[in-house]
Amino acid sequence: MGQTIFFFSLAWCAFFLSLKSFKRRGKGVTPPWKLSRAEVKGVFYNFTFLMSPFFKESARLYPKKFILGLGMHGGVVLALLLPLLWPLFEEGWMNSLAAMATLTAAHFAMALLFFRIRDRELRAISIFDDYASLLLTMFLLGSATLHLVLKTAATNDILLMSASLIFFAMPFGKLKHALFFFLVRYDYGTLLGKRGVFKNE
Amino acid sequence: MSERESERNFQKMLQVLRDHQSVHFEACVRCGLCGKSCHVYLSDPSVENLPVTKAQKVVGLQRKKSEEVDEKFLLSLQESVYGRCTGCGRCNLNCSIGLNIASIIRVGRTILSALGRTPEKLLRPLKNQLEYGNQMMVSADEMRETATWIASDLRLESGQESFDIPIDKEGARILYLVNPREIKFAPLSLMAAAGVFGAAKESWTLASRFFDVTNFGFIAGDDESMKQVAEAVFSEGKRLGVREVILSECGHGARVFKWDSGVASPLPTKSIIELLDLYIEQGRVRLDKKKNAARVTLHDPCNLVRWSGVSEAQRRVLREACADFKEMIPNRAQNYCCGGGGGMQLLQECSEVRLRSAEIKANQIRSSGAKVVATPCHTCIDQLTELNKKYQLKVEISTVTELVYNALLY
Repeated sequence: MGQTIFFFSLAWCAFFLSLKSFKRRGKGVTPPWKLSRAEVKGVFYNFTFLMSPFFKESARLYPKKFILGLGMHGGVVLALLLPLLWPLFEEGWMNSLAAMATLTAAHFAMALLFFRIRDRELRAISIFDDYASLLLTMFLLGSATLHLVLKTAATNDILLMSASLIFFAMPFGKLKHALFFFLVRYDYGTLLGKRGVFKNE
Repeated sequence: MSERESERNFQKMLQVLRDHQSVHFEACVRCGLCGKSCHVYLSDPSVENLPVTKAQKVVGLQRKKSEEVDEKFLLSLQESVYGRCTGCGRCNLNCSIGLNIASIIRVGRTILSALGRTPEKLLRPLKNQLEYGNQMMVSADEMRETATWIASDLRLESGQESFDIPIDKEGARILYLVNPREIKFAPLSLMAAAGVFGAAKESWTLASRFFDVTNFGFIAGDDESMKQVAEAVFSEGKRLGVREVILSECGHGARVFKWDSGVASPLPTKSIIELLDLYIEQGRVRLDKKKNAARVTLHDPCNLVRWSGVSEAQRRVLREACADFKEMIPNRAQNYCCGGGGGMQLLQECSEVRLRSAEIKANQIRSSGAKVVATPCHTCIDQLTELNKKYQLKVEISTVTELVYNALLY
C-alpha cells in the first residue's frame, strides 16, 4: 500500500510540475535543442562556476546558511531516493553513511528552521509555506534516518508516507523549487551566455 | 479608491502578471541570501530593502485578494520598485537559486505603468521620446546648430580641418545615437566622439530626429513604448541607409538596443566602447597614453556590463589610452551599482536613498587611489559627479571616449 501511494505521489508530482512548467514555457525559456553555443556555455557556467563560493558572493557572506542549505538538500535527495534504491543502502557502510548523512541533514534542517524563527529579517519575509516545507523536510529526513537504522516494515511505511507527502505538496508550494531551480538556472544561464556575461573579478 | 476602481486595477495587475510570469516567479525560497549583494540593503539593512522583499511584492500578488490591493499597497509597491531598486541585477548573480530577481521587480514597474502610476519625472521624458523623438525635446534645428558649433570647436582644438559632425548624411556607414544631454549639457562627449571618428576616418552621421540612445519605456516598465522608441530609431537607420548603429556611452541604452527592446534589430548594433576597441585593434587610431598620466579607475555600468556583457572592451581601451589604469574591487559583473540607475537619478524623492546607497561606490573609488573615474554611461556620470561632491572624492569624472580623444595622436 505504502509503495502504491509513493508511486502515485511521484506521478502526481510529475504531472503537476510538468503542467506548471509547460504554462511558463513561453516566457523566455529556450528549449535545449535551440540553444546556441554561447548559451550552452552560459548554462554550464551558471550551474558550475556561478554556484561556487569563489564566484557567488552570497555563499561567502552567509557561510553558515549556505553550508546548512547545501547539507540539508543533499540529505533530502538521498532520502527521496531511498525507497527506489533501498537494496543499495540496506546493509554495510553505505547504510551507515546514509544514516549519518540523513541525520546530519535533519539537524541542518532544524538549524535552518531555528534561523527562520530567530532571525528578524528572515521571520519577516517568511510565509506559512516556508515553515510547512521545513517541517515536511524534517519529517522526511527523520523517517529516513529511522528506517536506515531500524529497517522495519513500519519504518519503511513511515518513510514512504513522508516522501509521498513531499511529492504531493511539491507542485503547489515552495517545494516546487526542486524542479524550478533547474529551469531558473538554465534560463538565466542562457541569458548570461547569449550576452557574454562571464567575468567576475 | 472606489471598490470598482480597486477591482479594475486588480484585474489589470493580474493580466500583467499573467503576461510576464516566468519560471523565475515560481522558485524563490525566501532564504534572504540576496541581501548583502544589494547596495541599497547594505546602506540600510532593513527588511524592506532586501531584494527578496521587493520581488515578493510582485510575486505575492498571485496570492492577494482584490481588496488587499488598495492605495496603501500601490504606494508601497511604487516605493519598492522605484525607490529601493535600481534594477542593477547584482542580486541575480548571488541568488542561491539563480533567480532573475531584478526582472521580477521590473514587472512591478510594468504593473504600475499599466495602472498609470509611473512617476511623472520618468513619464515626461518618455512622452517626449514618443512625441518629439527624444527625451529632451531637442529640435532638428537645435541639433544642427549645436553640431555646427561643436564641430567648429573640434576643428579649432584638434587642428584637423576635415573633422566634422554630419547630420542626416545618407549612406554613411554608421548612425551614431547620442544622449540628448550631450546636445544640451555635455557637448564635450559628442566632440570627443566626433574627434575619434574623424581620426579613424569613419563614415558616420547623427540623425536630426530619432537620435536618442536612451529609452524611458524601458525604465518605466512600459514595454510597448520601449518597442515604439526603438523601432523609430531603427527605422531612421534604415532610412539613412547606414550599415551599423553605434550607441553613445549609455548603460541602459546599450542593454535596450542590443538585447531588450523587444524589436529584432534590423542593423548590427554596438556600443561606441566596442567600436573604440576595434579602432585600436585595427590601428585606425593612435594613442599616446602619457597624455592621460593620472591614475584612472573604471566604474562598470550595470546595464552595460552585468546585463549586456560588454566588460573587456573598455578595459583594453583604457589600458591603451591611460598610463595608470587601476581596477576597482569588485569589478565587472560583480561591480556595485553607482546608485543612480533605473531612473533613480531623476526622482527627487529618492535622492537620499540614492546618495546613501552609493557610499559603497564612493569607498571603492577612494580605495583605488584614482584621480580620474571613467565610466561609459551618462547616468553614472551624473551620479558619480554628485558622489564626488558629497563624499569629497576629489576626482575627475570622464567618459571613456573623452579619455581616448584626449590621448589621440593625429
